[in-house]
Amino acid sequence: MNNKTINIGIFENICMLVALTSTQTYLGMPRMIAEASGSAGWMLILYLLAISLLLFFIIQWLYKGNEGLDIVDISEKLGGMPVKLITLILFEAVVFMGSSLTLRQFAEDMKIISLNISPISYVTLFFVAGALVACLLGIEAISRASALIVPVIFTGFIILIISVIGRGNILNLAPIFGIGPKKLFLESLPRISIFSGYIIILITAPYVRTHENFRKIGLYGLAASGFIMFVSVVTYTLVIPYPVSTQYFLPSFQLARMINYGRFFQRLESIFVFTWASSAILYLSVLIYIGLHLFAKTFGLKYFKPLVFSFCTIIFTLSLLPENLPSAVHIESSIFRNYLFIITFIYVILLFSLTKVFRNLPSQQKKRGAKND
Amino acid sequence: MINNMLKLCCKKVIFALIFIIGNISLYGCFDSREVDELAYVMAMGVDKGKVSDIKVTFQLAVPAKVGSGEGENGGGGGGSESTTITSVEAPTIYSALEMINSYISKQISLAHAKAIVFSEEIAREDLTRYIYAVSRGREFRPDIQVIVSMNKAEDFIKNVKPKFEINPAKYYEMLLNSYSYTGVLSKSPIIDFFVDAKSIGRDPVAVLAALNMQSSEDKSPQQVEQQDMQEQSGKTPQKEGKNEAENAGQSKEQEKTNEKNKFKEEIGKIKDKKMRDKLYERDFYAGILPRDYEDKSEVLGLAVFKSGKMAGFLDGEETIAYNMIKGLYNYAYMTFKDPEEKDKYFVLNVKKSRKPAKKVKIEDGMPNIDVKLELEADILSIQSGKNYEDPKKLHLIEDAATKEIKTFIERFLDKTSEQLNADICGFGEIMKARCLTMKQWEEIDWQNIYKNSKFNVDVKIKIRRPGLLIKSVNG
Repeated sequence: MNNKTINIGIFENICMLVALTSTQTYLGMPRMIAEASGSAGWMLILYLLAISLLLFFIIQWLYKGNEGLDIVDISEKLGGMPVKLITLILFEAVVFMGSSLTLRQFAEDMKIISLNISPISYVTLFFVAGALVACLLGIEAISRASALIVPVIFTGFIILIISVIGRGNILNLAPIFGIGPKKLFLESLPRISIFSGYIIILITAPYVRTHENFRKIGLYGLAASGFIMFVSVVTYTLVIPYPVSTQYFLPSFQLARMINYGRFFQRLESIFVFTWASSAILYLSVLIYIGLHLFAKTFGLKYFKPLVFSFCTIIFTLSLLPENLPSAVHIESSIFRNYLFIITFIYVILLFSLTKVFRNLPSQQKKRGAKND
Repeated sequence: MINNMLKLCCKKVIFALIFIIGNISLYGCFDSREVDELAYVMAMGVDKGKVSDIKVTFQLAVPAKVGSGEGENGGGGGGSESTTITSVEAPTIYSALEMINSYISKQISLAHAKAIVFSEEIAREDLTRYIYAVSRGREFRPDIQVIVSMNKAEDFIKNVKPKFEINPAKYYEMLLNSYSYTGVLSKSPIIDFFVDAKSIGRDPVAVLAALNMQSSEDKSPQQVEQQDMQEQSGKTPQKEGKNEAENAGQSKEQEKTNEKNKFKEEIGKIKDKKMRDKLYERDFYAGILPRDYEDKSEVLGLAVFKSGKMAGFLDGEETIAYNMIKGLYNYAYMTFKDPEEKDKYFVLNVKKSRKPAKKVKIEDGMPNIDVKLELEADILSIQSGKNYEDPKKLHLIEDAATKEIKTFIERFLDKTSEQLNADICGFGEIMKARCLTMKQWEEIDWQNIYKNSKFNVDVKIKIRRPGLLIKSVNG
């Protein structure tokens, strides 16, 4: 993996970050937020965004002085192979769980929306195939594709919002604190996991060169993702009030189905299916690439392409493990999303803090270099 | 060199194979459904069954007739020929769909269904179980209209005989959208019904439909007898058949007389309720419209639901009030009694001026609800010929119209609270906005206290235009 020749711009990085976080908008995120907050989803999103921005601010401050290093390099700097292995295991768990659960849900979405007779393995295979090709082409191709596709997806999203907002009722946002401030601000804190997509810059950090770029990508990317999530949650709550908002499996699809402007402008949801499928493939590509990069770098592998098929096969198999769709949704919303923040925020802050504290210690690389000398 | 060429060739072949296989697979053969292999349901009816739980009636489009414009009289005379109707008894809606495919060659598609009609009997039991099923189904559109028929849903669907539309889907769309220019009907898409039924701050409504009691195909007893004989032919011996036909003719006559009596009775009830000798255009509800037309089906008024069960219904005037308070009202022609000559009328085209303003507060455990409506109107007719257009006299008809509208709105609100105990206008949602948390809102127990509501109605009407005549001159 020759990093020197790879250069990924700020916009491409932001697009990858947005692809990783806002894909949830097309899955059950608005519903999960409604479950956690009642009618106060918009407030919960703003609250979680504020906390995630604060945490990222701490992370980028701790990262200062480590320009050009990704999370594997920083782990190595702190504790050599053992810390690298811990980082690898934790992040691979995120990659495998996140990608397999998302893959299963998107495939099931497609089955429910349009391909309801096709076998689930057949539908899943197409998403895996798309991600596989993207990963074979590498991070540069993925980032360029993100820069092209994310604006299209964003445009589709805005059209959807504009089309259904007229059906909204402002009273659906009441009561203002939804299911109560305690549940909203304390018990829903683990929901910060929805902003975990920022981890992409912990991988692409060497390609963004400067600390300033690192900071910009994180802050702008999180803000853009927060905006998309905020708008989608507000629109969903305005159009479909609580408690019915907790019932729809695919909130965005449900909204799209409600577009009806006369006899000619209706049944537009099929147009949005294209953007959702693109978004899913992009999400899987970025997430699987993170897994490949971490694995290859931890074990010092020169090439990662042979791993692509193995990774995709494992993810494909894992995606078929949940017995049914409700099980997959339950694992994602009640287990994965509840504990994800421990790895993506707490562990990263811990790792970077320790690196900052022990910055005066000679790094493992330097030690090894000295031995070789 | 040769090895390299072979490798390159192999790569190209593999790439080509992936490309071809991928493309073929993406055609979606698994899920392909050709348009001409589907039978499109336009409307669906649900009645109580005898053999099984429910009897489901499907009105299916006959695409060849729709496309060619062939109607009853040929050359696009009507739309009833462009559909075919079938009924089947089944435990659920979906099992009825399953059963129907055993005798209809095409696969049933609900993607173009425009209305789902429930009989009053079913609606009074519990509608939520069917609404849940329909809301879960991918093929049902969220804007399919919920209709409650005072007669059997099957009879209603069978009597839908559009004369101006060949396309049955367009017929339902246009008919059910007429609320935007009459006010005596309202919209009731299934998504709204589902949401309102699940909410504790509002209750759902459905479009009220029925077969007209007066309107009938004026056939002589001989014609009825002849038709019945044709129906019976081949099943019974001729003599016996004749007797049966006679009996059938008599029973139809009896049925007709009963309907006429019932019609008179209902009209009498309305006159008492409204305290009017002659009824206005907005006083009727589906089934009793005094009219004569081949198509017996009509939609007018609303069915009101409480906890998923039909609690009662609204007539045209109450439906106008509902639309005005909900903000769904656009405009309608309304007749009022002349303030100076009591046996004459003046007619206004009453339009919405501003969105309705609603305030809700709870005082001594009882909801206190303020409703403020701002309307404007154009003069359509002044039968007395008095010069009410004169700015000094204009207030006379403004006041008369205001008083009349205020009275029927108050009567409507009292009916929804005291009689039906169903908050169909969604005042609860306004109260909900005054609460900070769901717990606070649930503690209010809105569903039970709404019946004790006190209403303060304020109606303002401003007449803006007198039509093409600027003043009335007696002479």
